[in-house]
Amino acid sequence: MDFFTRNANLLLELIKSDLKSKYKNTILGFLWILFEPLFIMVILYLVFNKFIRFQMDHYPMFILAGVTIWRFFINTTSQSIFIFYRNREMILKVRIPRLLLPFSVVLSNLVITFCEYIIYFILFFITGMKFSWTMLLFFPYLLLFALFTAGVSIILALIYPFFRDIKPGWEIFSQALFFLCPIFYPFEIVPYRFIHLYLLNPVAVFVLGVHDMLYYGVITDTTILVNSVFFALTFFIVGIFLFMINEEKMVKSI
Amino acid sequence: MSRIVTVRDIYLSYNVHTGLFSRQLVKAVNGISFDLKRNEMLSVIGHNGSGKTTTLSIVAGIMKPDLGEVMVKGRVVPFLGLGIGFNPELTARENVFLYGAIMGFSRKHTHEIYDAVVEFSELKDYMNLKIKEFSTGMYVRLGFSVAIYTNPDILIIDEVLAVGDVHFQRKCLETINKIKSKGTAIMFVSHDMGLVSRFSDRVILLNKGRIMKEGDPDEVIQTYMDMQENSPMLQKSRRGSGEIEITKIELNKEDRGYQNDEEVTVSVHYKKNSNAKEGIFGFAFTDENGVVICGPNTKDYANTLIEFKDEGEVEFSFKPIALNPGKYFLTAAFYDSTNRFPYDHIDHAEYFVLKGLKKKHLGIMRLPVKWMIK
Repeated sequence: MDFFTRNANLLLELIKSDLKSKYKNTILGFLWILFEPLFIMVILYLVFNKFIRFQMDHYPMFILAGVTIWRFFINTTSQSIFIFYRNREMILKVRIPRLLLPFSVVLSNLVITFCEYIIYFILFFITGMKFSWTMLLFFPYLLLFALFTAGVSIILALIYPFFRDIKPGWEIFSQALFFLCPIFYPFEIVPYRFIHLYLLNPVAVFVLGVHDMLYYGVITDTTILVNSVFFALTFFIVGIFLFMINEEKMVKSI
Repeated sequence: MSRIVTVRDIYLSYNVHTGLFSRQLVKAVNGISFDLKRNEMLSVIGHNGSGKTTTLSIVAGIMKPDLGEVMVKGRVVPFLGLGIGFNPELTARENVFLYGAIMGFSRKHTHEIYDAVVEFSELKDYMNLKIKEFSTGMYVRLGFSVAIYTNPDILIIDEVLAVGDVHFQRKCLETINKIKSKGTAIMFVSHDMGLVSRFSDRVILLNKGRIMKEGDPDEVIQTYMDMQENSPMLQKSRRGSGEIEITKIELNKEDRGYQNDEEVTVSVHYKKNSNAKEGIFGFAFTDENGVVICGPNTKDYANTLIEFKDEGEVEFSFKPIALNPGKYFLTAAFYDSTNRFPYDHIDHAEYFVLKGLKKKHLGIMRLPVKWMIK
């Protein structure tokens, strides 16, 4: 924590510059943060309300809840993967705590995702779904997921300077992960004998938790919660640990 | 004078990948120790790859040595190889604030120095431009300005002043001198020996990651210049059809050392591999940076074509009257009679060394000058 208070100002500047360079040359600018989930929602609505249907109420909202957290995960990791490499100028020319770089990517995406979920809540009310206060538990849960994503991001960013193959490799692997998450289909259709295997996918566990909180409006069950905490802490700690032992090597090879 | 940087016996090596699974260990820094005091300017000189930048990176805390100790008291502001870590996608103004944050300043503090930075850099009208639209000169100007206004205890400057224009270069040097007198210690790397000689208090000469010599600027610079004379730096390269082939190049002095008023005589032997009848011979010489001093040929200078024999020799001689001391490389070539297609062209085939004055003057030559001071 001390690490964050000491570097708060720099972290803030890095997040700002990350967001700025993302939206700066666009005409809509920061409005894109609002438009992206709206567009996705419209498309989901057209495709899944008119063409294809699972027997679920408010099916597009179900998808939006899961797809948004997935987008947070995939955007963050695919930006982080070359964060050290892309910022080698900064790493090699000035002394900064280098962990701030992946953290700034995670946090700037978190800001965007937060806004997207605000949109989700607005749509939630518009579509007339039933609100319950337990839904607000989602926000600390999102932070837990950010911790998990940060761990994965640090690990990927560390590998990239040594093995460039990690980038195409991760693209394929993350697609597999996507289809192994209950985003477009309800978890109930997963055959029982595969459930344990299926839940080895951390993202799937988190998506289940998100659905419970945001779509069904219930407190998610303990197993999912315990597993989420376990995955988040494990990946985060492993990421930090790997970073600490490989930092100097990484600096030499970028 | 108080010690501000202490470096004891540092080592750093890294792996360079030479293939998929093969790599080579490069020992960049191989046991270096030195001190730096307040109010002192220490220059580091040496060939490319001698470990200068790595040493400075270690002092700046950017790299950690594999072995050895580095103690630094105070804020180090590095400016290495033209870079200061600006983000090309952000505007100049935003980058100043980002840099301030990197240096640990609050936004408020950066606000306070902002105007002074902009004024010093003389880039007032460009602060809303993205850094990627900046020229190298502008980039360095902004970088130097912001670095100087962070009030460093130790300022590290690596080959930066080579870029800016003369006016800005002078301003930088004056500022460096000023902050030095206020207590800042400066580490300086440059290939411009004139600058090193005029501004340093002490010079370290690095060779293959070790300190070869340390001490009085002019003495160390002299050792460096002598060292350069013993190691050819420019790569030999050859092209042409091979119809005429240069077989041997001889200089009239075996040790290749000449005085300014001595005649350099070179004879170039060739043999004919085809039925080429006539052509042009030319030579050129370049200084150690590859700058061509002149390039005479038999057509332009004497309006003669050479009638080729099966084996022959061309001899030429000249006096390098006004040239500065240093190392010069000879290029020799045979071309066809249109002077377009090379039969045999060898770049930097031979070299000679001009001795004489101990110290190198600015530029490539010494003009005979009459001075009148009124």
